[in-house]
Amino acid sequence: MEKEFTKNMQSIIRAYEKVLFLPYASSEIVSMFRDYSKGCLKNKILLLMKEEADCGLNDIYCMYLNRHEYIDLKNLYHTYEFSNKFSISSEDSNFGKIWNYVKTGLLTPEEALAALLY
Amino acid sequence: MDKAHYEEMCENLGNMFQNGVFSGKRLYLFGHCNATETLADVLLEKGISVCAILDNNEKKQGSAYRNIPITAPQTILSEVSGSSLVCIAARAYEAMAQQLKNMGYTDSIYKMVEYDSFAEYSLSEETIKRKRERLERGITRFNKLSEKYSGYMKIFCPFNALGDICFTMSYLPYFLAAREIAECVVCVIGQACAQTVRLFGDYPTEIFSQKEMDETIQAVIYTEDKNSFIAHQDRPYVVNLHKALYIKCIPLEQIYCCGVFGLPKGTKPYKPTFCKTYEDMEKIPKGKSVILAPYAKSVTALSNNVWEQIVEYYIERGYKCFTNVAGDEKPLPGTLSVSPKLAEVQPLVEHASTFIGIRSGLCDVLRYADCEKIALYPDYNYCDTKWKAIDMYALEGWENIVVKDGFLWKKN
Repeated sequence: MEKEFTKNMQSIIRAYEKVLFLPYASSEIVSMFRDYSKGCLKNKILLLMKEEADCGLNDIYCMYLNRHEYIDLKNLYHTYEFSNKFSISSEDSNFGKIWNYVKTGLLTPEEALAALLY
Repeated sequence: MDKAHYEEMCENLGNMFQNGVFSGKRLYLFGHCNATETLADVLLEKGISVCAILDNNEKKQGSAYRNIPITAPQTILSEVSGSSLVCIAARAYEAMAQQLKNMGYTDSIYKMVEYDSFAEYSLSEETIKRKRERLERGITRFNKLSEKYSGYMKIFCPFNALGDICFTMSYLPYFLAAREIAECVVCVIGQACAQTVRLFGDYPTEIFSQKEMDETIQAVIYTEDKNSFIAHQDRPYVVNLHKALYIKCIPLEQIYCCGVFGLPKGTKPYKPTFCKTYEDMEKIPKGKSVILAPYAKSVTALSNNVWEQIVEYYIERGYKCFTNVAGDEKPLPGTLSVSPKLAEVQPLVEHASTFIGIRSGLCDVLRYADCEKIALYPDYNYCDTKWKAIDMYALEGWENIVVKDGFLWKKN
């Protein structure tokens, strides 16, 4: 793991209350996040996205990762839980996900996002 | 607290005594739970006094356990620097230690039990190296498992809890059918969980220690293996289903059905049907016996007085009372002990006619038993949510009773 990368992650974790990594964010989720993050969440929540995902969020809320950064971060997060401020919303099919509640009608998409960012 | 964690905690305590860690220090515990109560018991037996149990739950603050006050975490900030220490025997050790540091607490914090080997809130080179080695061990074990069960879906049950296994097995057949999976192996911790799996069918099972399970699951997460599934609502850290509880109350049954397995609400759970007759059934008067289950490893115990009232009530009415015990557990006064295997419990309680237990995984095993069933709920909140245990665990077809201070057994 490059020292520079872990140093950056440490800075991010210190600076934000929540960091949400959305490697496969749909436009719907990004749109919800945009609505949710208006105003009061400035400097509290950071959304990490893959570089190719142009979600139109400004850089107060969103940071884009290049391919190497994305792989490094995914591998690191999949090695251990290095912070409770950091979470990932993935499409992995080998465990249950909060979006299952949306699919089955237990939560609205807005409630699911609020839960993720709680 | 299960035996393995108890032994680990006692070993850590022994080392701390040997190194004089407690000498001249004011001791605090953090997080009022079953494990902390056990830790307090051991410390008190050794003559070590505990200043307070710190807890974030405002409803617990102001009460006490064995005369140890339960107070807000901020209490500890009144201690002079260098004069105190905190011991934590809880799964959320990392978050709790972080909280104390963020509050400005600078003295020593000790992890008494390794409940969560996935978490270490550090990005130091040393931590990353150690966690990579752990991952490598997991990948080696995972590869061996995959070789042994080539072509099988591997279902991982990450925690040693009968209730979790019951929920998993109740919905697993639908999940397998939806993914068109013909064969699976269920990986569990300990014999009791394996026995619980077999109540639902002749599934191949693999038994792991907690450490082995954690490491193997880490390998599943890292490799993103498509032939593996982690069947749990809040373990390991990548599973975010429990976060929904900060927004809405979702009973555990629905968490498993809809959240873990993605099945529609109302999916009919499979029942545990592979039971066996209890060996000593002739010693249990049919229709006039009560099976009491006061012990649970993950739930704070109910006071003796509660059980005394219940035993007295049934004895007065001509019932014979039995306590379900395992290992060193003692039967309640006025009762005889019974130690049925898990496959024998349902036929036993149906023969007896009445089951009364603290709400634990055993109640899930007995969920569909054809007899009078009463679940007792200590008055606590589910994890760090605002929901009570009864909101999460209430059982349909049972009498569900919350036991509060001054509880009186009133039976209709």
